[in-house]
Amino acid sequence: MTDEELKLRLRQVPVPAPADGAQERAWHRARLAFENRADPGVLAPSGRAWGFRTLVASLVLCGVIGAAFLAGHWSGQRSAVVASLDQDQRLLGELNRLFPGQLQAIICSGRETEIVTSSDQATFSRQPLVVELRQHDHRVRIVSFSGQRVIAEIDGQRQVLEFLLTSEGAILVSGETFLWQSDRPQIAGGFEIQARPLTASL
Amino acid sequence: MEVPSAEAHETQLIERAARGDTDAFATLFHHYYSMIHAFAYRLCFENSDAQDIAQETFIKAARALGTFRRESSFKHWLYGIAANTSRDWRRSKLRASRIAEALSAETPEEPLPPPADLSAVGEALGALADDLRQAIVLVYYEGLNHAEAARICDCAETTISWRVFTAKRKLKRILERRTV
Repeated sequence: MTDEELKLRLRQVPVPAPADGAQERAWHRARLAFENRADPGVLAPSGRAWGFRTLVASLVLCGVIGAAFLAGHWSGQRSAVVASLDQDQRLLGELNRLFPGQLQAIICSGRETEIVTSSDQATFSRQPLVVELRQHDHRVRIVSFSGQRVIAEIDGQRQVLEFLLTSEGAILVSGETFLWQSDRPQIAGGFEIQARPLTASL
Repeated sequence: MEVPSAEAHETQLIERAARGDTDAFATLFHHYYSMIHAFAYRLCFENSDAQDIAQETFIKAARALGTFRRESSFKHWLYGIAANTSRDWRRSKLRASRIAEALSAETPEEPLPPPADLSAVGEALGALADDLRQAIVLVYYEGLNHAEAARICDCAETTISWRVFTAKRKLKRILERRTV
């Protein structure tokens, strides 16, 4: 087979069109990120789309609520996960109503709250859980779902994490270089980790 | 009146978007979405994954627009973000399958079938290692030269040349074997 023949065959691979609405959903998420980027001082108001702005305002409000309760309970140190399960549950319920079936995670780090959504309705488990990771003085609290993959920045390092709730009720947290299990708690990958399941009825 | 070139027009759009102009960012998004979706699909061969990778690419681009330094074209900058996102995606899937294997005794589950409509060429591309597939997609499908692909993959130009060479050899071997 010559290079030209290979090129011709490679070009025969068809690319399916994105599903209906995928581009529109991607645009809404990208626009959210664009309008909420770190340097809002340079953002010029567009003066349009009040509905969208209402949604953004709702998210910001949720972020503020999240940051406020985190600031409150994190001062209580290590028993934080247990103490705030009700608040996690409420926050998850509210955001699930805003993004039904699309919410992937709520990541609370310091006073910042990031809401991660998918372009499609979820095909993964909707068993919610909360995981708190601590390294040095930095804590990140993540409300997500079993089987979900989350990218979070912890102490300046980007971490790709996955969560899994086993049939025995144990939670597995998988990072790039470690696997932590709630039924065998230990420091894993340099992180002190706590995790609890949340109730699935939202 | 002088009509600005496409390149100058895009530069203006990027500058306006960097200053926070949503309409300018929308124009860039809609211009490049299909291209990034196609690029992501050729790296992962799953339409839903390609959609998620494309979405994640533009979310990251929206957040990082202020850091775009025009050392490369905007298109190549997006390719770089999409390539990294795709790599994370694939690693994550691999890890998930390893965990599923480890837990298979307690939660037996059928393995995911490969996409039914994947062509022989698609299967051959899917059999390549990530870095080889990325190189061949950038050079053969996206029409980049080796130096441009090297900047996106953050490696030396000679590394890209070697990856393209190796990928071509493997693809030919797989495709020739299938036609026998």
